[in-house]
Amino acid sequence: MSTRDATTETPADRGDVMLMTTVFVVFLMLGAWALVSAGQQWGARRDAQASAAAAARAGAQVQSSEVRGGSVALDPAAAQTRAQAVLGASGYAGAVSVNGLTVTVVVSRSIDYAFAAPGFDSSVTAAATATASRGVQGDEGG
Amino acid sequence: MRARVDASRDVGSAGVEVAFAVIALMAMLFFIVGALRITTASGDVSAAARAAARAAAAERSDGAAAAAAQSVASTTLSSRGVACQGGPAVAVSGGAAAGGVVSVSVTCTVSLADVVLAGFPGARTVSGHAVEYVDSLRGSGG
Repeated sequence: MSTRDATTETPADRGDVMLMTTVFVVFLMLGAWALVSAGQQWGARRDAQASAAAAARAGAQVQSSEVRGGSVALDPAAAQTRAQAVLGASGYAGAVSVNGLTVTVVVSRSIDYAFAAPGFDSSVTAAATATASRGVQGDEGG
Repeated sequence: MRARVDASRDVGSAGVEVAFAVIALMAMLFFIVGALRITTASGDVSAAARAAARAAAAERSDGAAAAAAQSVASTTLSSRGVACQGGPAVAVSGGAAAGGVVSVSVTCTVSLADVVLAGFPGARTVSGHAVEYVDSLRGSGG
């Protein structure tokens, strides 16, 4: 009886573990690929944001020529030069706009994925916007 | 009789398949852990570079800027639990002259000895780079 059970059940079970494992490992590999790519994307955006913020802070700083009679007026051309100097040293290209005492920087850069997969984009564009203002804005309170 | 021979061929095959499956799954898990280690270490090193650049830009001499960058980078990495083999290598360029741009590169060799089974090398070098503008309106010497 036990021999008959073995002959009737074994063929149906043959290879099931390996098949399930193969499917599971493929899904795990896809998950790992997505994880690594998402991490790269997150890192690229974080670096872009940090560079944009540093450029905006640079633009919002002033030279002595921009301080007159105790008040500060950002020179748009000088602010753009300062911000672009930081962007250039960071390896980013971006647009700098000045509005009063506020400097806004928009940067973007394309970064290749470490593991390019067929059917998916091989690179990601990291874009970021940062704004910095000179001095204290609004009521200081207290 | 023939069926009985076929049944005996399957004896223990499930155990072998499970062994292969466990090895494959372990390798995948090691790979995921290793990939996460590299990704997070890269982010931590970039954060250390940004903090070091801000610290360097606040100093008034090149020597002080280099010392501050080294100190802040080491502190940032240790507070994030990143152990660099031989300590982090910090390179400062651009100097601390008022109105200039200071660049800081931090390089860290992270040990991957515990995930070497997934095919990773024993160690991986990650680096981060940050740029900061040195305020124009300040003294530049001691």
